[in-house]
Amino acid sequence: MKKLFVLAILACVTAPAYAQRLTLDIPGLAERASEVVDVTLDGPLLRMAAKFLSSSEPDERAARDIVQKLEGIYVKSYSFDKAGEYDAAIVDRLRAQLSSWKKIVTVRERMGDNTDVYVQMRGEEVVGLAIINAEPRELTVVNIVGPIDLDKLSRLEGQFGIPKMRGKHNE
Amino acid sequence: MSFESELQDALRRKAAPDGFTDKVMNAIEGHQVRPRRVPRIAAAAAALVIVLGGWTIHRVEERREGERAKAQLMTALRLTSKKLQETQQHVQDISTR
Amino acid sequence: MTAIAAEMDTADLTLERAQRGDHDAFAKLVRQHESMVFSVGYHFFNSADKASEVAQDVFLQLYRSLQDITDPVHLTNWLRRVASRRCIDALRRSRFRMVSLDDAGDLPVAARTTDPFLARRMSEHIAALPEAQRMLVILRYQEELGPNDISEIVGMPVNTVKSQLHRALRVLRKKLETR
Repeated sequence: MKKLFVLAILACVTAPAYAQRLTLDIPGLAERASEVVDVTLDGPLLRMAAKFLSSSEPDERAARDIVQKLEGIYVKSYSFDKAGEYDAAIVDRLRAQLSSWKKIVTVRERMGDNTDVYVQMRGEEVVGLAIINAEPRELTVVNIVGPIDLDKLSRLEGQFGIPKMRGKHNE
Repeated sequence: MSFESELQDALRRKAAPDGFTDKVMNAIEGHQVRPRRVPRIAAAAAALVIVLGGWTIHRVEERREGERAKAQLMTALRLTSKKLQETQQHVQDISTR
Repeated sequence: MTAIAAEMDTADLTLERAQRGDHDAFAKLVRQHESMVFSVGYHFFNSADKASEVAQDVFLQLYRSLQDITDPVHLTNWLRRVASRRCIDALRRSRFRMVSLDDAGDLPVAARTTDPFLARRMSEHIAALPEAQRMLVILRYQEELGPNDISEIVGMPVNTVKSQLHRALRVLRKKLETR
């Protein structure tokens, strides 16, 4: 009984309150990319960013609603001039970090667009989100740590003035 | 001219625009005209100006950093939302085939 | 006292006075280093306006961080480091706004060299390099720094500095040959 009690305490102490932050650094890739988006926002910087969101702008108001409980937002997106500029093994290594996460969507397309969406749950609540989107000329990884409302997050796209998807979107 | 010499030539240091130093000092001091000498009897007042000036710069810098962080946040959210929408659309396309 | 020692002595004194709050001394430091800081930005962005904006930010940051500077050599390297990082950050922020570069509006200033057309082409090719390689080329050929010094300034391993420089020079040579 005591052992169970100790184990229960350890489980509470060691289990993260939220999802873990992934290792998204991919050395050397930025130099090969024609365009890079690199966002690391957590702790005081994320709170500072949220503080500057305006309540009079609809998109910023919606964003504020989403980020208020978040611990961190990490995005790396690399665009390349031609296909084949990054090693598929990079994507495998990223996926390997998510073995304990719950994969909720997998998309595999003939044209080479692959997307995996993972979540980490605490009870009924989503407390972590990871998206790996690997296209022939673009690699995007998103990691969000903290309670997220996926519905609100995916609805944001319409509010940003980007038309909602109708047909297949070729770039 | 060798290639490396051409590079050095193209990357020779350029003079900063006229009045650059004055612009920097104006931003620091918040005055239109920078005093050349500070009389001793005004030393305390000058110290106060420096402290307040530093505080003002700090606020300006804080605002800039905040706006930068906000821009990064909006970019990250846009990109995430876009990827989620695209994925959702793919799933819908497949289910309607 | 030799001329160099006298110069360093003066530089030390100017820094100390600036650290004690002497604005004239700080202005002297700005004048001493404005060309270097401005040029890093100018060659990075190929734009005098953008370079001026970033350079001003660098010196404002210096003003706030003066007490951290230990000596004139440290000051120079500090300025190079902060200028490099601010240039790269500014470029990334401008991409985040998703504004087309065609809308940027800044006209590059032509370099004065023996062959203005070649220098201008070279500047354009340099400005088209990926940001990290661009900064390495600037630090190498504007500031005439070796890979070890560049590595400390940009926070990149020495071997990576060497390989990225090598790659950048290869691209620049090829671009000059094909025009």
